[in-house]
Amino acid sequence: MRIFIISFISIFSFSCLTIDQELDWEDVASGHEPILNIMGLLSTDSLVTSFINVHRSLTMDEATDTLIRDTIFGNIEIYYASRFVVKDAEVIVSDGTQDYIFEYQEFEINKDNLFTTGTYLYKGNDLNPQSGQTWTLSVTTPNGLNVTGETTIPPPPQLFKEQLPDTFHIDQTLDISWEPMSDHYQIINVGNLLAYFVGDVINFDRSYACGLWQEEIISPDEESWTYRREICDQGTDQNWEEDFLLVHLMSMDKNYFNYFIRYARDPEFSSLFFGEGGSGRNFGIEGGIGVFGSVSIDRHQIPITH
Amino acid sequence: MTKFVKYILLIFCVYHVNAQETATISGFVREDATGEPLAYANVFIKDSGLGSATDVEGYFVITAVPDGQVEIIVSIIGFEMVTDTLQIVNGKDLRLDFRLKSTVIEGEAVDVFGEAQKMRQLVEPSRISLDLRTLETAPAFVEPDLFRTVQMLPGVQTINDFSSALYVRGSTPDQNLIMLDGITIYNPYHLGGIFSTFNTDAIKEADFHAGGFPARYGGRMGAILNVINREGNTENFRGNANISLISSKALLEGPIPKFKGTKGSWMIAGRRTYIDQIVNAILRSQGSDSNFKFPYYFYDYQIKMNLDLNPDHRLTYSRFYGDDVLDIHFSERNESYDILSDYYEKNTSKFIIDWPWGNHTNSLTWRWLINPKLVARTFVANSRYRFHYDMKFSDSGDWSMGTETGSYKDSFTFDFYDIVNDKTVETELSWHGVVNHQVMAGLQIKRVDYNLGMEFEYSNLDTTLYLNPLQMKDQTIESSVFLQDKWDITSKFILQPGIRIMDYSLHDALYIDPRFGLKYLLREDLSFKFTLGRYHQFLTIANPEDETLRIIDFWLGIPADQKATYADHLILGLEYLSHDDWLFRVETYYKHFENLITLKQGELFQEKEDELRFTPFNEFYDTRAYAAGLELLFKKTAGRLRGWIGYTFAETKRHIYKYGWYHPKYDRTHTLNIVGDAALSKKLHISTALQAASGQPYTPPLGRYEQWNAQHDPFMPSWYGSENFLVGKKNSSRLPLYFRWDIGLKQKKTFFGLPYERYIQLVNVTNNVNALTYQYRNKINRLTNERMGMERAAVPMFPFFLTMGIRAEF
Repeated sequence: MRIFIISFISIFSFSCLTIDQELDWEDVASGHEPILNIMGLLSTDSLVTSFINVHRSLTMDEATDTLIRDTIFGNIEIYYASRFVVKDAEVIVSDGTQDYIFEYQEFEINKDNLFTTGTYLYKGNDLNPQSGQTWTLSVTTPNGLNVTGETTIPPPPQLFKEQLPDTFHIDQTLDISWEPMSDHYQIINVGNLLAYFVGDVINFDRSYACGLWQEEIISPDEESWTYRREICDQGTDQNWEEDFLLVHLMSMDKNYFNYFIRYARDPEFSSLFFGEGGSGRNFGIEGGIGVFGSVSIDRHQIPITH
Repeated sequence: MTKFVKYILLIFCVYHVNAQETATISGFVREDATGEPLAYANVFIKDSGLGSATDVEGYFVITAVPDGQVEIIVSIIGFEMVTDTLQIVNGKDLRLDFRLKSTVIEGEAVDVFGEAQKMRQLVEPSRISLDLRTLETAPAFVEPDLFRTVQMLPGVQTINDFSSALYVRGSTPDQNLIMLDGITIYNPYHLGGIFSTFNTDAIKEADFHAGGFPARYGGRMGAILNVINREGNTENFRGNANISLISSKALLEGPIPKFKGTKGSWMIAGRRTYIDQIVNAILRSQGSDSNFKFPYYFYDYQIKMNLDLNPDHRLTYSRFYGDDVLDIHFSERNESYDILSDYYEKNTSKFIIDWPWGNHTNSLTWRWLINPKLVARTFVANSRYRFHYDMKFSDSGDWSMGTETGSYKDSFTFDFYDIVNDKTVETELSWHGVVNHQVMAGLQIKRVDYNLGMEFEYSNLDTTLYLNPLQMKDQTIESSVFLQDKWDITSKFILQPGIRIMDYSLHDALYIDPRFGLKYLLREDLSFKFTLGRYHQFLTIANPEDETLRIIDFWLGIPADQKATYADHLILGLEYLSHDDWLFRVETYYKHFENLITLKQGELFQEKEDELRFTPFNEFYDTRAYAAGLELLFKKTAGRLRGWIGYTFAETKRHIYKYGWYHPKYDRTHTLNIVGDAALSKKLHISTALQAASGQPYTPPLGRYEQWNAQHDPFMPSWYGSENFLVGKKNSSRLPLYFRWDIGLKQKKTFFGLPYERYIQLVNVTNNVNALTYQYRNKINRLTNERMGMERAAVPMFPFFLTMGIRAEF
């Protein structure tokens, strides 16, 4: 018995006898040559502005951001500027007959809040992409990086609004139909308006009136979808009578579909300790990575009843 | 095929010509003290050139023994040689059973007849047998482990310290046929692979084929590990117990009482981790009112019974049960009352995870000595691998406010399971009817039911929502026949042709695997071997190939729309056994894999066409692969110092159209293993295991970029970037060199006449940081909080640690 007692004591004493290993953190260098990373979108919709984001990749040892102190719109602002963003590129979008020069805009003010946009916008009002047109993109940076892109504007989506009811009762279904497209994917999103006014302007609260926010990818030739509020165990104390159901139908070109839909859920590489990564896909972009796509939108809103 | 039939007919004709001329001597060789059969004992007729080696059941057959007086000699390493003088009259067959007494005093040098006989007999290359002593004396992780020892053999590579899975010559663990007494074991691990499922106390021998195995084995295209359990002591009731850091083990064995001419033996061995019991006992002793209970344990037990109905018929029952169990139960009850609003509520919430996974097997074998030259083994077995994650959450209660009352109830359950149920019937015939031929033939029918599924259920008082996004049920039947012949053309030249023909129920094709082995003895102690064969496989695991840590395997039959996977093996080898017990083996191999499937790694869920689709287990990349290498083995097989030095040079590459050719994660170019066991005295052993290997491949991050994401809100869609790594070609860099040195010490003692051993294991004595992978983080400027670029550090595997335990015998 003595042996067993001694052994037990020994076993549990020694079970702690390990020597921790100090982690030796080292700098990571790579021979990577930075490339341009574009997110360009042409929109036929009056509410969604066409824009081009021009970013670049960073090497492993490059800093990601810089602390800036600046006077913006008359106020002193201190912020971290992303080093991914390329601010001095020449960005030209063309429909083959006319060039549209996009200009860099770093900030915007929305509801008295300052936001970093860091995007290239066209300041004129004559940019008017039309379905079926092919548009090109040219981005050149002072240090010699250059990409080109091409997108074909998708057909405009068309909700059959006359078939939608005048009001939507949250316990009922809603049959939504549209003009089918033979060659293009569409995406339909449904949600409620009041959610935008709960929380701040960016992190609005989708759980408000939960179960309403839904999304459906529409394959070519599909022509209808039955919407119903999902089962939701959260309280329903909101004032339904003042809310609206928003129905948003968006068509997209192949570049947009491939980047944001088809491969969005297919990370090229993932690892428990590393996270996700990829080789940087490019759709509609030559000479760099990213996407140059185009969308067209139709929307409708219906009062919600309870 | 016609030539093959003619060849078989020729063998039968020769048999009828020879059959009437001479006698056959057959029988069993067993250990005297325990009755355990002795494999590879050398049984020969003195001055005649006639002889044989016992098989794994201790059975031998010597044919064509002429009339007259003969002296038969039986010898094997570590046992007294037995001689007997016999009179052969009119070619009358003789049945002789021998019992050999052990001469081995631990640490003393002994003859190596058994090893030499094994070398003489075995045609197939790449085969190594590990006996109990090797397993027990090799340094271990916490406790002796079969897979950890096999991992030290040439050709076997490891994925990391936390896994005992075997990557053999470019094959992944699912391509290995792991058998316990002939029964397939699907998930032979405990604790996510840290331990193998086999209790070394119960093991008699483990027979490992790294490749080029003969036609009697089929269904897998990698390696074979056949673990043979002890039969049990036929003479006395014996036992032992073992306490290690994590588990207690016990083994009992003894004879079955003789009854009407029957006799037999039994063995039962069990193991259980006990850290859960100790932690819970400590919590109880401290009066803890916490609901916490240590949630994990594993156990396994094995039973084996042999019953000799008469000298010609034996029944063997073998059973293995092993489970890992994660069992988490939390429950909470709350009562509250708010005097201001007169609100009273009573609430109960429960959270339960019940997660068992493991193997249950049963088999019954009937061995029938139809005549001395023909032995039949019929085998019925069931092997079930079950993984079942069952999570439940419920929240219920009653409330009242003034005169109003109400109740609520929400519950959510999530079930995730994979059940593989394998039922096998097989018959194998072993025939020594023709001089210099050993013909084996067999039939196997294997029905495997796969059930992989996932279920969700949400319910409240008035609604129930049930989702079954994954349900893959399949039943496959794999029927196969094989025929092989070991033909001693001359005393120096042996051929072993064979063929295995298979039918897979989900495919229309008939699959034919030709196998061919050749052995030429250049000298008595030096042989050349050549093996060529095709190996089909009809099942796979559907785990992501880049998984860093794997707890369980998800098994699937090869789908009907996928081609059967196969590999071709080509092996050349030289083997030399010196007079002073050194075995030197050099082998080179090439393996070619076709129709492999690799799971697409991505998001778990994908919504499509009004249904929630679970993608990981039914979308695959078509994959090809090859593996080539050179292996050297110096093995000391007997004496005070035993062990081996193994070196492997290997290259494995896989091809997926998305990545091109790449090295898989388990590929290591150079691997050096040194395993030694020395008897410092009659009571003190020291053992060591050293492994140095090239770093494993990993996919290097080259830079960072922003992945664009879309938020398709119905009011105002938006787009934003999220930081991601820009990675290079898949697995194009390698981790630093792997180095680990383990040392074990074992001392025999007695306590009031009770023999026992105490042992200490030192793991990673140099405390070398071996990288599992790299982790990355941003360097932060502490003054400005700017992110200044990336830095990395290894995710370390085992640090230095020490474990100890005792083992008692009675």
